[in-house]
Amino acid sequence: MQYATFYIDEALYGIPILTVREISRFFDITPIQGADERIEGLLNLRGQIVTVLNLGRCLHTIPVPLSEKSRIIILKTDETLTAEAATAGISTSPDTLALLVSSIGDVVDAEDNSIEPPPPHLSGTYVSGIVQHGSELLTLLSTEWLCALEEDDGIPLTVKS
Amino acid sequence: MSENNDYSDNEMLALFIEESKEHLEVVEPSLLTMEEKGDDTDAEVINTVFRAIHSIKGSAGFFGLTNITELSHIMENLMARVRDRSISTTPELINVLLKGLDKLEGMVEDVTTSDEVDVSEEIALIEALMSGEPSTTLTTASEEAEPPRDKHENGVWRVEEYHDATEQAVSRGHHLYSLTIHLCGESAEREKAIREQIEFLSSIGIIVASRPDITESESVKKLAAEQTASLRLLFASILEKTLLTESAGLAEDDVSTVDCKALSNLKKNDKHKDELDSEPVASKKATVPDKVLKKVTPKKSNPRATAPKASKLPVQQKKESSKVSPSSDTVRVRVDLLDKIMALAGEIVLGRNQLLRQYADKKNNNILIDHSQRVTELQENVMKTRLQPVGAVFSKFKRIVRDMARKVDKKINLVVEGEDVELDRSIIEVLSDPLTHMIRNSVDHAIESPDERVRLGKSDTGLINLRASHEGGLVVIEVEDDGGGIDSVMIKEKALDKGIISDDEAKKMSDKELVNLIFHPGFSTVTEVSELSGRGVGMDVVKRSFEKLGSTIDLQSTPGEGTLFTVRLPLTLAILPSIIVTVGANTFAIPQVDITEIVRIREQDLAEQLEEIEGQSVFRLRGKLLPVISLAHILERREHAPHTKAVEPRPEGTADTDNDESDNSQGIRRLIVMRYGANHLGLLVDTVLDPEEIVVKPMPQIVRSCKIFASATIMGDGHVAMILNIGGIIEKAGFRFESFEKETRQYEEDERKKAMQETQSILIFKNPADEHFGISLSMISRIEKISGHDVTSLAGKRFVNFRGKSIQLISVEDYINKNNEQSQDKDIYVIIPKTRGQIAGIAADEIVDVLDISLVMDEGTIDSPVVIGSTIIEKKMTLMIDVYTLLEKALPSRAAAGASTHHDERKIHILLVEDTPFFQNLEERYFASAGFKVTIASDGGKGLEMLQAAPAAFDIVVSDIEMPVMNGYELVNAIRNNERLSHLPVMALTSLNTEENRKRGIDAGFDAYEVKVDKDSLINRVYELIHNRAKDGLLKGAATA
Repeated sequence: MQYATFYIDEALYGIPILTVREISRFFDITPIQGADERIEGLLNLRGQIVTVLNLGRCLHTIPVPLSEKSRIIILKTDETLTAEAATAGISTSPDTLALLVSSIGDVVDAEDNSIEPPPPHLSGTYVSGIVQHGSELLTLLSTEWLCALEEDDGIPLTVKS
Repeated sequence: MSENNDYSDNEMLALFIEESKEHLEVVEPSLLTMEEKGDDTDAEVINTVFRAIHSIKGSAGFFGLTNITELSHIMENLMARVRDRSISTTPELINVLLKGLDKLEGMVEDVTTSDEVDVSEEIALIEALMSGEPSTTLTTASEEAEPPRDKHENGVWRVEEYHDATEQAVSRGHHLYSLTIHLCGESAEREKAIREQIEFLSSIGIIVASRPDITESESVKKLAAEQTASLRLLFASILEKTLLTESAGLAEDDVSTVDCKALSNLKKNDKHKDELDSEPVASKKATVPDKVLKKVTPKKSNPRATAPKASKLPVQQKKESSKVSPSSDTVRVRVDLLDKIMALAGEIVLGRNQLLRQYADKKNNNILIDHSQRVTELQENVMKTRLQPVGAVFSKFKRIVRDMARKVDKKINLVVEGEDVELDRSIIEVLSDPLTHMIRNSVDHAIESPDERVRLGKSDTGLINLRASHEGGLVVIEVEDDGGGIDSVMIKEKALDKGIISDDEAKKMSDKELVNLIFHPGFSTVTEVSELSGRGVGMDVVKRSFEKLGSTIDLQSTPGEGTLFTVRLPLTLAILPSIIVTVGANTFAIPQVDITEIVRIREQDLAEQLEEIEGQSVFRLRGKLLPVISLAHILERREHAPHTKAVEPRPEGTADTDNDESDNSQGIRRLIVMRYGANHLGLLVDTVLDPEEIVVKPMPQIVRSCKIFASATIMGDGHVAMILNIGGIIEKAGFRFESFEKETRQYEEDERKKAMQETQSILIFKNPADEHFGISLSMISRIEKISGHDVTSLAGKRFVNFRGKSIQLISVEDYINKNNEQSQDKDIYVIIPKTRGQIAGIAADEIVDVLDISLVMDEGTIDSPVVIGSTIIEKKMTLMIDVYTLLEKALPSRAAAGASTHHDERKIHILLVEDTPFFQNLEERYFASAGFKVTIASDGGKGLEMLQAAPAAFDIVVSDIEMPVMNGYELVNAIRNNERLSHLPVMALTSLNTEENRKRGIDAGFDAYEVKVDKDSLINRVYELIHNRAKDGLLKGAATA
């Protein structure tokens, strides 16, 4: 399966490319005061309102700062996911969500058999597997948790590379 | 095709369902009307029901929906007899029909399982009802000279022969036609034509019978050989007449409908003996014998081929129905398509807003402005397509009320008004449930039983009034009943019981507030309240449902007389005219519906204008206390503690666009006064930008828990802005109106007491030594600024030129043994007191301020006759000056004149009624200096006591107007109504110097009305009054003697 990779701080992560709708440069994000801190704010994507998550905060690592290199990965909704994604058991959220990441990486093709299960201390909601990518470790993230974000109890999960 | 029942094209079926629902909607109100009118029901109403059921039967038969067909068929039969007046319209009949209708509705709702539904009960009921009536009436009706509609038009056919076939066709909802096919051309062609025609007809229906019999090929040949022959067919088909005529290529006149109903009844009816007319019916009417013409009523052509309903109806009614049916100028549109168009229109508006903002300062943007106008129009019209009359919801309540009232043995009349008021369909959809609940409550609990009502002197029939109307940009829906009302005492007890309110709260709550407690969530579990007080269960749910729609509900109830619920709804939810506000760098939208006004407050006045009651900021708006919530405050409160993070600097261009505006209006804050239910509150924001029509975007699921925002929108500049939710803000602020009101009441009580001590306008000035002095503003005529060089010193006194006259300039400090520093060349202010006779000016170095304060003075701090006392104003000791004593001291001639005038008078005793210590002091001095004896009463009540205790002791009463306990008007009224006191001259002495007050004072019985300014005029007036009274007394005495 192909994965869109990106960095949070210095760590490399990947999500199935089937979940990605588009990648956008930084826009004007309106913060939502009083909302869950993982929510960076709302974004106007050509007339559609997109909820931007600060992936760093979601993973309880380093909050992603906004910078020249930071990007927003806009995800497909459950409705717009392709049949291929559906058969692969991938789901996202009924809302259009986006992930704020430090910078964007390459598209990585990872064979299923090359994916190792996450080490016990990382097994949790977010991480679906680990892949060796060149000299780096690529942490593959699932997207199923996105729809359950509201109910997430926020147990800290430390992801180290 | 006639046998083809699996016509399962989904779209067609959906259309059938939709159409049937429409028909059924028409039936219910008509049935209710029938019940009301009984046998006097208008024929058109009956026909409406008949037509609707008939249409359903027809279509259902087409789809092979046996159950629906069967039930509608028998209902149609019953209706036919109602139409013939052969059966009486009784409540039982309506009941049976309604029952059938409900079944039909249920089956239409879910057609796929409709054939599994048991309809036998309904059918049995209807059959039983019909069999109870003699069936012969029908026959006579069809035989005799009844209107044509009551004739079965089977014409030349002896239908009983074909009974089985027709019965079968009818049960499928087929129509029965009598067809005449004319033949022409060569015989070979004819034969072919006949066969083709028959083949075609067989594909669209069943040929029940033919004349001559086409099953025999001989007769066909024979027929073909005849020159002017025609073939006649008894034909059953699902097609409506117009469609059949068209598809078969027949002339209108050659197709006539045979009344199936009449047919099916024929079998039982032996009296009916129509001759089988073997004579072919010619196409030309002239050649048709009268008898035939009478029977085969040729139908007029139907102009609307697309409206094939009710084709079995006679000509007359058909015309009417085509007039009534609006189908020619309306079009069915799918709702999701409408929604999409609506969303697109919203996007266009947003785009327009962005364009407008971008090109706002460009010249020649006429095209844009023009275009913008059209976009607005477009959007408005698109929105209108989504509007539906509330009647759609209201209509079902007639039935609900009827059924419920029967169940609980009450007589209730539901009056519906304003059904044509339109609302967005999304609102209409949600409106139904809470309204139903309210109506049911009214029926169940509010309206009393007939006996009870009669006992109470009311009509035995209760009234529920359901109204819709426009009010401003809102739609108001009211539900009013004339039932028992809500007993606030009962509610109070229950609320106390349940701990919803405390004892203290309960004591302070008004009846209205108490009855509104039924909306409190805690009440919903209190089941017994519902029986006792009339309302209660689920009202919190009702309230919440309405709040979700951005609307409010209010309740008024008079025990014994009834209850009125008022719901205010927005017209649409999609586009909201809003006010855009900013707090810091953030922009928010507030729906204008929520806003009543916007108040400007200067930053520096903020602390002063916002008072605190029990930790709650309040703002005094036109005398009423308004709770104030600072939006900035609310926004700062995070629900989750911030994670370990420093505030990251935002990259340039983020959310900083509003800086210009906030800079421009720095120092000015805005208070948005908003309505929340029956309450108001103020939301403090930084700036208010232009209003904008915002398009409400759906709120993403994961931020929905953030209740201070209702939703989000995209602004003209492309920014996302949050739409504020007033209810959520109140919740987040932890603000409770109930306790606020309690505290407010206490506060206002205190305030009122304080206000009773009159406030004074005091002019504060200072001398070169920076000592502050105060003079009551009411004693000052004017203030002049003059140059120090214009002051002339003469014989140790200083003079200035004032209006061409030289007047003496008094320095206050000369009389209070203070240092006297005077700089020659500085500008000084000259305060000219209000006085008569010789005037002088009081020198002031600087005018500090004019303040409205209630004076509390220390007397005797400074021992000087010209000082009344001292007080602390703005942290500075201020000496209050007795202007008249000062003048007298400075101008000895004036004092002498004043004293000498009334020197010989005996000591006049004045009762001075005055509550303000300052004036007590001042006025006492005046009168004392004029040689009067003064007794002070601190309010009207005390004054009256003193007068009553010693009526003869006083010569005159001088009274203030505004006083605690008993005011001046009340005092003078009491004096005038007391025989022993009525002779006393009473003078009003007040600071209320308007003509209106003066007139009111004189009307109340005061002899004179003086303003607290001028000592001389005051004293002269006292003399005048006493002399006049004495004269009056003498005259009176002479007259009686």
